[in-house]
Amino acid sequence: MLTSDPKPNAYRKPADCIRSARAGISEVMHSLETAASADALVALLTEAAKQLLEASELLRKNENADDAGIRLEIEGLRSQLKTLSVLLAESERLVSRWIGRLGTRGGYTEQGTSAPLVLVKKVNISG
Amino acid sequence: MSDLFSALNSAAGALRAFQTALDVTQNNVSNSQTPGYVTQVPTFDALGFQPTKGLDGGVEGGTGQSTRNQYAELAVRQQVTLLGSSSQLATSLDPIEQVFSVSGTSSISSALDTLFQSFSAWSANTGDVSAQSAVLNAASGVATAFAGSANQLDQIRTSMSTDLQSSVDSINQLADQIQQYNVNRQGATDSDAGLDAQLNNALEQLAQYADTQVLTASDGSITVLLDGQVPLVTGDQVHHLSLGSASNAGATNPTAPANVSILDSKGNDVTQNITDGQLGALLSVRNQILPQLIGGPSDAGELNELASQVASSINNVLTTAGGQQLFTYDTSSAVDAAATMSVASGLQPTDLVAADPGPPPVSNGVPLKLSALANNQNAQLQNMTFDQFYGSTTSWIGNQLSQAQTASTAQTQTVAQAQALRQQLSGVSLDEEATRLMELQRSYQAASRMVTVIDSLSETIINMIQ
Repeated sequence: MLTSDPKPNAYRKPADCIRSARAGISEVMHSLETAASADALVALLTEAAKQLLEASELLRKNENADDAGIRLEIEGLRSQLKTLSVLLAESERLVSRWIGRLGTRGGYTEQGTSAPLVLVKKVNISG
Repeated sequence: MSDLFSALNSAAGALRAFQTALDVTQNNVSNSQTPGYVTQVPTFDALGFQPTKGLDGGVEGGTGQSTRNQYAELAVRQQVTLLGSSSQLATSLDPIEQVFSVSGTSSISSALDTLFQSFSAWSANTGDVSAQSAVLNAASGVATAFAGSANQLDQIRTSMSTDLQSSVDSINQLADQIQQYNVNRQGATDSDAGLDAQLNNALEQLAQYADTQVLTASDGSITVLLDGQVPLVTGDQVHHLSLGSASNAGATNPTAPANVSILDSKGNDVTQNITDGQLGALLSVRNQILPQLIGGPSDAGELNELASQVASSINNVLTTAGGQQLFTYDTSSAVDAAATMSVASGLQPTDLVAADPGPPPVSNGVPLKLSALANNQNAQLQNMTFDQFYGSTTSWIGNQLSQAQTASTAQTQTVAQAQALRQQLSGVSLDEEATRLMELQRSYQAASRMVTVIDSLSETIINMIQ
């Protein structure tokens, strides 16, 4: 499990934090397309959230609140999040299709076991 | 704010755990029809929850847990071994039983009947050349039937040796697969469901050939013993079997084909240890049943005993009356009588002498004595007539085949039952997998809420800069 110092970095601006979060979200979306490991996705999402927390901490202390780039970055981030939500929804649909496939499999074999599916990642048996 | 961090960390861990679980489930569904595969159950390990010590709780994915039931696997293997034994016995005895078929004109039984009928016909017309020719033809038929049967049994014996070699090769190939599994297993930190499936598939195939005992070591590697005594695979070592020939030194019939022996990797004869499975059945037929019929190192063989008794009894009647021998056969080797039996070379119909000099002299005494042989009980044939002895042999082999076929049919059902039981205990249930996928679907929905948290954070920031 990732750990991080929750104290904001005094030398960073909120816009920098949001840009870092956006970079993380972009990488998450790219990773989803390439079926990267779950660990990497989770780490990126967690880090993005931490960056946003840091940005909000800085803003709460009114540090660099007049940063003109903040609004631009945050709007861009929200756009990315919408895309990510769609991607995650697609992942959920993938699981749903698995469930549907299982529910509509071709009945049962003569031995009473479930009929075979169209298989992937099948273990190779020789001999 | 630290509470939010904790919540994020817990959610992140949960997402990772659920992803692992999805991988396990996908693999289960993908391998639902893979031989030897059993369900891997995704496990979740609760994390410590002590906020004051910085433990945020949550869940993490554990390693997949196999649902393989070792007792069910053992039960299936035992039944498969018995099926291998009975089915191989039935397969091997079938061509032997056909050699001893009592139907058809080419059988020994029919040929003997024709010969004794020809003797009877000759006794009615001792000077009739056609009757004498019929005797020679019938005698030739008997010799051909004996030699033909012996030749067929010899061919079966040769093919049995080929089958034995094939079985030994198959056992060695499976042993290689199991040894490779051990090598892979010893180098792995976690169990691999795919490797496990391959291993159990190999073990089940191996059980067809011989009775096996499987022991699992602490490092996950397995030891396979044949009949509980002969090591086949121990860790990363494989001990190949080989086919050999037992020595005929000191045997009653040293010229007979030697029995086949199974040698372990050190050259020790372990034939006596292998009594079950296909290999055990093949050894039984090759070293016991066939020698009993056609001869072996310590057994003349019932076919040879019958052939030599028929030939010597008839020759004795003819030569006692001053005539020539009707049959010839190799008298130097008890195991070759049937194969070498033939009508005496150059014998003509008119060479057959019908008159018995007696006392008292009888003009058709020889054919009468010859035809009477059919009903004589022979001490060398367990006090049975020729026909009774042959019938006894035919009946015995028929019973052996019938028992093997019955056992094979019953054992097929038993194996199916054992496999069904195993399937219930440790097979992949697609219904269960569907249920698990639904759970994962909900887990994905929950994990998506992490994105919602980030979205709400971004909204908070927007509100702060307005």
